[in-house]
Formats: sequence, structure tokens, C-alpha cells
Amino acid sequence: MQTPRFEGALPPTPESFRRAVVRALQKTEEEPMRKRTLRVSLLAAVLAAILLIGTALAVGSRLGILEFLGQAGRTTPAGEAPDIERPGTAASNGKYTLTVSEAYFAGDTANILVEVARTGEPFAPDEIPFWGPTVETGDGEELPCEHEERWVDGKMYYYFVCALPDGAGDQLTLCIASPFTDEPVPVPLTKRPEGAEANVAAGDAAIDGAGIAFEEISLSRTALDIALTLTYTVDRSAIRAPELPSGNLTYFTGGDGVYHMNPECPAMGGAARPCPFEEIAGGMRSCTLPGCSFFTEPFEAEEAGVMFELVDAQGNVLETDGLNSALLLEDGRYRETLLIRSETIPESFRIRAFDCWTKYRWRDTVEVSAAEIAH
Amino acid sequence: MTNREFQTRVLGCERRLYGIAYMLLNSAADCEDAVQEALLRAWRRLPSLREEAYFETWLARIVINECKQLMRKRVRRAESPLPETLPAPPPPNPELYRALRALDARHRIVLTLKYVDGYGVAEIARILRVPQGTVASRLSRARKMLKDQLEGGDIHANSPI
Repeated sequence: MQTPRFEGALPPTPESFRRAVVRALQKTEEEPMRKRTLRVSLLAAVLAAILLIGTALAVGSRLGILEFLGQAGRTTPAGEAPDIERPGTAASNGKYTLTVSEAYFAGDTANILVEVARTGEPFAPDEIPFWGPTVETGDGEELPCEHEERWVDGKMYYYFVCALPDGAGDQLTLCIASPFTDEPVPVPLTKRPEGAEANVAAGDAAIDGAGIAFEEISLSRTALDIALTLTYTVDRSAIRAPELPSGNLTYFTGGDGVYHMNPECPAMGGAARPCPFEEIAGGMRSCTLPGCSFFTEPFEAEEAGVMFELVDAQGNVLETDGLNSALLLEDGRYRETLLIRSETIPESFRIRAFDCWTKYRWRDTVEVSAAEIAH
Repeated sequence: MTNREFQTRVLGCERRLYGIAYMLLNSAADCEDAVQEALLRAWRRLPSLREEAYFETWLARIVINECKQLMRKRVRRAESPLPETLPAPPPPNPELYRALRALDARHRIVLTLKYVDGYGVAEIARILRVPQGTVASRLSRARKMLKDQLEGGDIHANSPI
């Protein structure tokens, strides 16, 4: 351990803790490990949702809250459920309100946009908790998700793309657990067609040299941005070093040394490689300047070492945010979502691929012509 | 992974799990509850672990999730924060313990994972599900905050802070 004195911050492990661990391990001997099906989770989540909504309506009705909220003017026949508008599922713990403004699934991934507002005042950037919301099944199983966090004008936005397990079915309800609500919030998802919203120019669905072959490319409008979802396979043996030079890496201090990284790289999740501190500490500051490069990195073929860039017909790079990394689906394909910061879907664009570390890029490849499809 | 292998690997990281739970919950009894529940959950979920090499970070994340659940329950029960008293037995370095406790959970957890538990930046990123760049920047800020807490003391003279 490089900092043995830090160990002094922690009390010795109590014997009672050790006994508790042993007791738990003994229980695992009696309990077979099982792969829970989503069906059970869904049933639990749907039941929880029904209970929650029913309770809320009953309490609301009893306390006159519905009337207070202006719902009283709506006449509903006796015995018929009131027509509830659902711009988004919302829950509040008094201090924060969490709204799910979008939730749908297409094929084996789910897309969910969560918005968090603070009651009575803006959400300050320094109160963003160290854990954000997570997407779970009804029985608390966390789904593998990539997400983008963004603070905009006093609100926090979390955009999730999650891999669904096999057999998720057509009726899907997931839960959002977060520090902003006391209980996980059930979220019913609508179904969207997969890969039907954009098309790829024929015969050009691969990035030469990157080992990438696109299988599906879809565009959809989200409440936050326009989401471009790329589903692709990677043939590692086909990866060659990219040849077109680009910008330089960014260096920063942190952890136990100096890191150089490409913070824009979605596939690597802003990944960093540590360098020996003394080796570059002297030149560290100037490394953050544009055009400065201290290292020539040898190219190393990595499936997850690619970032994408979108270029419009005029050659302008579209402003995008990537999620943390590409999802590895059960069948070995990758699925990656880029959020295009634009209100309109461009008529056509090209997809470029960069190597994350060197930012050298492979030649332009897939030409996408897009057409919005209403849901 | 067999049950025997599962048990061996859990026992191999028992101290780290305690460190994570303790720094989040500040209560030995809550630590026991959280880790017990996390181990049972981990065993049930074991088929979802794709790469055994990531067992420990995967387990650490489950422990953190259980700690979060307990913390939420505390909030729901409107329990007052635990008093800032030293645990029994006390830590060898109570000054550092208090300084760490004074940090918010977001920064305390990265320092704990890095310096108390000895995880690397990539592992912490996997545990907390945040980009490695975020981990590194939080570590940087957390060390500065800790240093401020310790009022400029020389406690880190030989550490990379």
C-alpha cells in the first residue's frame, strides 16, 4: 500500500463483523444461486406501480388534493378511473422532484430520461450526489446501463441507455432508484420499432480499418437532444492503425499521478492512463494547451478504443455528447448512443471514427440520411 | 464460480468491504447488516457477473448499493445523523478519521476506495459507475478538502497528495 497511514483512518475490523460475514456465507450454501427472470421483476414492479398509484389517488381524493390541483372539473363516470395525463412519471420527497420525461425501449435496449428539480430553488451543481439514479427491475436488480449526466439551468438530467435481459417481453416496467426519492419509482416503458428511424446508404456500413460494421443506425428525438444509436460488431483482427492526424490529448492531475486522456471519448468513458508523476510533472501545465504533445503513443488495437464523430454535409462537426461507453449486448454486439445537441435532425451526415488515445482517425465512412418518424 | 470459490474470494476482501461500509454508514451494526445483505444478493446475482476478474469491484458496488438503501431508510425514518463519536475500538489515527468523516459522501468514498482500500482509478470508476476522469478529478478535489480539514498538517508528507 503506497499510503499505509491512511489505513489508520479505519478502526480494526470488529470480530462481530467477521462473524456476520461468515453467517452470510453459510446462508449462501443453503440458497442456490438463481438467475431471476425479468418476468418476476416486472410483475413486482407493475404491482408496485398499481399500488402506488392507487394509494396516491385514494389519499389524494380523501384529502381533496385532486380538487385542489384542479382535477375536480373533470367529470368521470362512477366506477371509471379518472383520465390521468401522463407527461411523465414523477415522484418527490419534498426536497427534490424526479420526473421521468421519457421512457421507451426498442429491441434489447431501453432509453430513459430523468429530470431532477429542487423544490423552490435551482439545483446547485455542488449538490449533485456521488451516486446518481440507477435503473432497476422491480426486485432491485440493477440493469447494466450507460448514462449521460447534465446540469442545465438549475436542473439535473440523467439520460440512460440500458441493456435489457433476454425475454423482457413487450410490457415493460422498470424502476428508477435514486437519492432524490424515498422509494424506487416505477416507470412503464413504451415500445418503439427498432432501427426504423434512419437508413444507411447501401454498401457503406463499415468503417474501414476500425474493424467496425454497423448493423443498425437509428435516430430518435428525446426530450433533451436527438439520440443517434449505433449498433455494431467489431472484428478485432481487422483493426489497423488509423492514419489521419487530429488533435492532441488532454492531461490533468488526479489520483496517484498525472493522467492523459481524451475526455470527449464516449467509448472509453473519459478513460485515463496513468503516467509516472515525475516523468511529466514538469511539463504538465503546458500539456493542457492546444497543440502540445509530449508523447507519441504506440497504437494498440482495442475494441472499446474508438470514438465517433458526426460531420454534416457542409463538413461541420455536429456537437454531441456520448454516454459513458458502448454497451456490450448479450449477443456480442456493441450499442452506443450519441446525443446530438440540436433541435433539428440533419438531413444527412457522415460518421467518422477516431482512436481514443491518439485521436488519429480512420477515413470517413458511413453516410446516413435521416428522416424523422413520428411515434 | 462454485460456492467455495465465492466464499474464498469474499473472505479475501472482507477488510475492504468493511472499510467501504464503515466510511458510508459510520455504524458497525449497520455495516454488518449491509454487508450480510450484499453477500446474499451477490450470491443470487452471481450468474450476471460476466468476468470473474471483476468480482471484487462488482461486489464492492453491491455493498455500496446496500449502504445506499440503508441510508435511504435512515432518511425515511427521519433519524438524526449519528453523533460524531469515535467508534469502538477507535481507529489508530482518530484525527484522520474525523477529517474523512467531515467530507461529503461523494468525496469520502473515492478517498476511501483509493487510499484505505487500495483500489485503482479504473476500479473505482467501475465500482461507482462514473468515468475515470470523474474519479480522478474527485480524488484531486477530495485530497485538497482533506488537507484543508487537517489544517495544513504534514500528515501526507510521504503520500502523493
